[in-house]
Amino acid sequence: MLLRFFFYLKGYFKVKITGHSPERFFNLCSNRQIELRTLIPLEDGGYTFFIGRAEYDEMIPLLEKTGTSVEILEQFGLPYFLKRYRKRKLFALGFLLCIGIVYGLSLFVWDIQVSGSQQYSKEEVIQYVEQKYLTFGTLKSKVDCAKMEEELREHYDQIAWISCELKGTQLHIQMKETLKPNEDVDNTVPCDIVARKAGIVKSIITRNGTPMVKEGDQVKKGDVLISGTIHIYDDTNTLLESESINAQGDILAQTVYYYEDSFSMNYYEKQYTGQKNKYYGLEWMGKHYIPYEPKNNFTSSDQFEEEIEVKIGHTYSLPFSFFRYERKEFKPVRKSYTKESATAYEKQRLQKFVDQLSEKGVEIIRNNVKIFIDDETCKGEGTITVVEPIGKIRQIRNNNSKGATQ
Amino acid sequence: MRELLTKKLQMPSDVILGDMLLTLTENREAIIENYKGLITYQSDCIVIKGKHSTLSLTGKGLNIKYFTNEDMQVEGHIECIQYIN
Repeated sequence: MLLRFFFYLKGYFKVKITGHSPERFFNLCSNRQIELRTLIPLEDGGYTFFIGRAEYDEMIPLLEKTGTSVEILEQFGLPYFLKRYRKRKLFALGFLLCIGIVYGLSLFVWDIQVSGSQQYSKEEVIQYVEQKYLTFGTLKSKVDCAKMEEELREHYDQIAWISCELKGTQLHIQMKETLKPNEDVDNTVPCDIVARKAGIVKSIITRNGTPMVKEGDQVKKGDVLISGTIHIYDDTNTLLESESINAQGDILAQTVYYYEDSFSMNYYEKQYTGQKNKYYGLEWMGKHYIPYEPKNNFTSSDQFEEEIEVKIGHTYSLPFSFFRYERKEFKPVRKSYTKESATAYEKQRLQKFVDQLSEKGVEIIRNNVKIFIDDETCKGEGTITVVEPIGKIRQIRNNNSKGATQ
Repeated sequence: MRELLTKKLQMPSDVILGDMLLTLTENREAIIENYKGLITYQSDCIVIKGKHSTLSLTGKGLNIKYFTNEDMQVEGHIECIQYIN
């Protein structure tokens, strides 16, 4: 490949030779280190081949020696390309200028991509980065990714891992959030574990402290489940000392969630008429320009906006993008749910509530929600019985008492 | 004598004796090295002279991709390879 490129740079010919002893001519060429490429015999007894420009000059005396005649059929290579298009200098200049502009634009950051963020929205992260570090159009050489990673990690304390990388003209920020929020629990502070809500204890695992309840006990909000106070008695059951420690453990209890939800049986549905207006805009360096916006004659309409990014490849974003706006007319039509559709819709909403509970790690035992429908309203009401952790830390105020009798 | 020494000492015969080298890729390509010159070149027959023997390649649509003083490459549909002494 490289050899072919150098061959092209120097220039070469396609020639045709005819004569009485062409094989002798070929042998003389090979003895003189003249390389012949793609040597093809013709039906009329001649041969065509490719030869370099410099080697063609060396070949001339050999033609006379062997009585061979030569004819140049075509000329290839950079020297002949430049000669052919010598009157197209402005085109070449424009081409070089275009490459220069694209190269120049590729030295700046034109796009920020954020991925892996759930608790923090992408817009929030991008806004923070723009305020603190860089805006669109910052030189890539001025971006310090390591420093940005460190400061983002300090600012967003729910992040377990973060990576900032420049790819093309895009800054990619990848985040991994912690599984649970950091509670910054101080294990040296004496505390009890109390119930944060009422329920029936299903299991209790004590790692540190004294368990105060057992399986099957009914507890109410605030009851001590694992005590952080340890009483030390002597042989006569006289309380010698009380010590407060950091109680630790997991308590699962059966609790009840009350569910109540309702919606109107009548609603308005959008029926699109098919009438629409389309217009276009351009965004350049963060500013929007709309050359023409048609007047909105629709009584009711929805507006849709679509951004068309301009990129070279996947990672070279350019500093401008196009927007396509569409305004669609609709007529609001009053409709009513049937009994079946209302029931299905309420079940869907109930399922969403149950899914949210399941995401918190709660185990659903029983679902006693009933659906009531009248002319005006559809209502879902009832209880959902679950098993969930109910322990909560509460600090102990008074520490260490000695010598009290039980 | 030279042949015996080359064989016993396991030396490369193309370097010591000047033997012609022929490398084939299926019946589509042949690379020939260590030759003295080209005797005949036609689209159905190529005859190459080596130091000790003459090689004949016959087939259809034969053409020489490159031809230098060190090696050459023949392409086409090779049907027969013959050594003529």
